[in-house]
Amino acid sequence: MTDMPARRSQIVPTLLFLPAFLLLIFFWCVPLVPGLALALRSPGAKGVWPSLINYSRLLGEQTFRHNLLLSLVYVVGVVGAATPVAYAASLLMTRNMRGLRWSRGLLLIPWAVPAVVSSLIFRNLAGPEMAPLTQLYRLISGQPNLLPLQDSFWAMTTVIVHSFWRSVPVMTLFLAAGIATIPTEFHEAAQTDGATSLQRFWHITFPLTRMHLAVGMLLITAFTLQDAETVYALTGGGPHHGTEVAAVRLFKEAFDYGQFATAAAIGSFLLAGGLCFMLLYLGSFRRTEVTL
Amino acid sequence: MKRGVHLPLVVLFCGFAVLPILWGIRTSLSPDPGAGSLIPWRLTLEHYRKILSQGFFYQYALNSAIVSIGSLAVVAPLSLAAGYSLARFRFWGNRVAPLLLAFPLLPAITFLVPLARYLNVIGLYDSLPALILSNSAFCAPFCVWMMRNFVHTVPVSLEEAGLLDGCSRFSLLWRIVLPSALPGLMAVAVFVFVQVWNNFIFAYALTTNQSLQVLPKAVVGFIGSWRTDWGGLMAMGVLTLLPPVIVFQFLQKWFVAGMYGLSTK
Repeated sequence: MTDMPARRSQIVPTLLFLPAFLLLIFFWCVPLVPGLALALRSPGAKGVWPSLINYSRLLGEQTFRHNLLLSLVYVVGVVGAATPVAYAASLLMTRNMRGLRWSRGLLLIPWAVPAVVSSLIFRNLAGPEMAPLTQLYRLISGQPNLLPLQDSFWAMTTVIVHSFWRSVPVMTLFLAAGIATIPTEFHEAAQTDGATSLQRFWHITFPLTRMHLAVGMLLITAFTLQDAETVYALTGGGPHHGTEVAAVRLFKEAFDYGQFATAAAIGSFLLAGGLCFMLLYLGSFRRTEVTL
Repeated sequence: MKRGVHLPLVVLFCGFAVLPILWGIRTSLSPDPGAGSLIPWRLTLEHYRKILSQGFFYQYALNSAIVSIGSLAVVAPLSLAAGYSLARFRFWGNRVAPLLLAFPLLPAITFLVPLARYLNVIGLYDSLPALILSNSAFCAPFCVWMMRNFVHTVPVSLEEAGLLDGCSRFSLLWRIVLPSALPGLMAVAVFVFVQVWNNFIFAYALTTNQSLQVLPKAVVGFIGSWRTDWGGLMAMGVLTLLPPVIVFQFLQKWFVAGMYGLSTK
């Protein structure tokens, strides 16, 4: 980092930084406090404050425990499926190949498509009529009359497949950016020493992109954990709460039923979940940090 | 691995990425999407004609454009200024920034309820500026980070020369930093346009007025009311996805370079 004649003046950088800083403070930090406080208000016009009733009611409710479980299934399913595929795609993308330029544009398309539109497409793909995903599911499950979106398991599978499809490009790009930072000399040196490509991956590429991997997984996790729109547009949370992840429950409580205190309480569960995942990834990254 | 293995894999990955979109287009062009073969032999533009002949579509598209371009107008200068300050100075911002940049990793949906109430208090609830500001705040951390990395790759010597020639700090930013940071701003522009155009959550949570609908919200609304009219729904979907996909296809080079934190050669 250079510091030009900057040391004497804090005013210029402060002026430059302040607009972005204020925007973030006003839209992220300021709503957080009343938001969490809202969760502690008991429902009704004369709500008692503070009260843990929203939490105890939610935790006592079987539906909500199921919401949380589905959120976990959703995150683990998407991250677990997208990570290896994205890794493979990023290794492929960082090769110098003719035709890569156009294929890269195509590969990244899912990211550019609005989530509600791709949800709609997957809703159609798993629809009741002659639809490809439905046919595939029928083949796999051996149930010739399966209606995927009427069946909790296959509806949730469709939700995961759709988010997997959306997540792979972002993760790929992120990992490819990490792979591109590795100096080619490392690979050349290893190659001269007779290392196979698998060895080179395991001893050079993988350790040096571990940080990118952790952050990429974190991005996908955060994205999936808070993703209400996909489920809302794809299944609406049904059949019978079968795909109702916690984020959708929050969304429905707040914006369909007007139960703001309940929604805020669900929000704090999501927040806690997000922080847990963050510590998990960054912690496991730190423990295994390698030196070359 | 041998070279020959790669091409089929690349084709496989591309097919995986593109096929669902092609299915959407197929459905939007079929006269009777429910029946018939995988590849429709008779095509129709009827579904598109139906949508484009109604006024609401243009209203929603205009709203989407206003919100996307408005957010871009907010985020681009903010992230350039903040990214530049973080890359070139040592000040309190460097200590705060990592914290701010971690915001997108928190589940944003948590903030929606308080944000809606809070916008209500300041009188912005149910307005396009509410969408512009919320979307901007959502995109800003990532864009600041991208610009900071980008400014790092621009040689300092140019600015030093400018300073020696007696440029003020701000004319330096305008005359020297801005032109050399242009590729970074392009990356920011692609990111913001795609993210904001595609955003449904803020639109759903922060606006209620019919005339303020943006396209993704309208699409979800139609799922409820058009139900089995898959041709119409898909035509609406395809019209909604075209602008971000086209922008992305034309400008992806810049975006990818921005993600890599490198300048394009």
